[in-house]
Amino acid sequence: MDSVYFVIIGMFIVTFVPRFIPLAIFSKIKMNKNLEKIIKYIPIAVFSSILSKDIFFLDNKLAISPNNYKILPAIVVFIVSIKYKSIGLSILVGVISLIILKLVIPL
Amino acid sequence: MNIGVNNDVKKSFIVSIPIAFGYIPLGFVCGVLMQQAGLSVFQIALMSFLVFAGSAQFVMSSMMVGGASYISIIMATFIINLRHMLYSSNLSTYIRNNKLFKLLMFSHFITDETFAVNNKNFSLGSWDFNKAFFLGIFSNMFWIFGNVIGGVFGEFISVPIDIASFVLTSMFIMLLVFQIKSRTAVVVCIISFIISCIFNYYFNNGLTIVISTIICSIFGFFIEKKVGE
Repeated sequence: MDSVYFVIIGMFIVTFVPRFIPLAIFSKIKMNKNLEKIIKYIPIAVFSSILSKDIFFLDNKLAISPNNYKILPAIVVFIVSIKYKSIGLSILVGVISLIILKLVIPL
Repeated sequence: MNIGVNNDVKKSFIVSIPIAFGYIPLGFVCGVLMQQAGLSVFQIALMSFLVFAGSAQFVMSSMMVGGASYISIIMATFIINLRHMLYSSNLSTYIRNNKLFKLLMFSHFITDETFAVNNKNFSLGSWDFNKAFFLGIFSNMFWIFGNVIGGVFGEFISVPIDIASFVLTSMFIMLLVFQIKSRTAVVVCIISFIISCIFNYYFNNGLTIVISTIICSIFGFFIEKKVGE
């Protein structure tokens, strides 16, 4: 499967360029103040986007219902995150809640 | 100088451990899928090092199995990974004053998770270019490791993917909570959830994240103007 290397290199290039170009540009040019303020909100906007897809969709279909076993653990993790502010604890609680819920649901 | 570097490496390693908890299981599943799509262990390792992007690698595997053309796989990868451009723009505000060559190497390791953790630590103030760089390297190593053992042992061990990916979901929830420090932030968060749900309902591609992020970030700018914080 030697032609797979073509795909690997191609994927590498199209992935690397968006990662590098903004850094390269903004290290030479001072960013516009307003642009900086917009960019400040990127983390919140992007995490919310990623999470909304992760949590509220099952198999690419919208699933806001009790059948979606991810919603309850996500809420639990959210509360634990606000209270304890620890990545490790959030992950632990999240995985345990998910496992518990998956075991309980079939009952 | 050496002591400083050792210190940086240690701190970065510790910070990378939560990422490892996500990358190793998820990488394992990814490696299995890539192996099933026909890649050799070496090719799996090479892609995990060079591309270092889980969602793209997952999509590549299923497209490969479905007989898609190599060009379409590369184009899909481009679209899916466009969001890294936003991360790169954001991180540039913290690491501007560095040689282009250093930025070149650094940018290779920008992913959802390394961006999230680096952004958080930079804003807390106790972080710098070297620590961020090492974090990227460690994260890549964990990702390659997960993928390789998945490629090698996938036939014998099965890891439930929904649990593996929920590790990263949980991490993102924590990092999102960390970002919410003002009333504007709360509003942007809620609007982002709603808008991205709508987008993802109608469109199923990687562009939805990029577009909804850009729209909601601009929203944030205007809301902050009105509200003042």
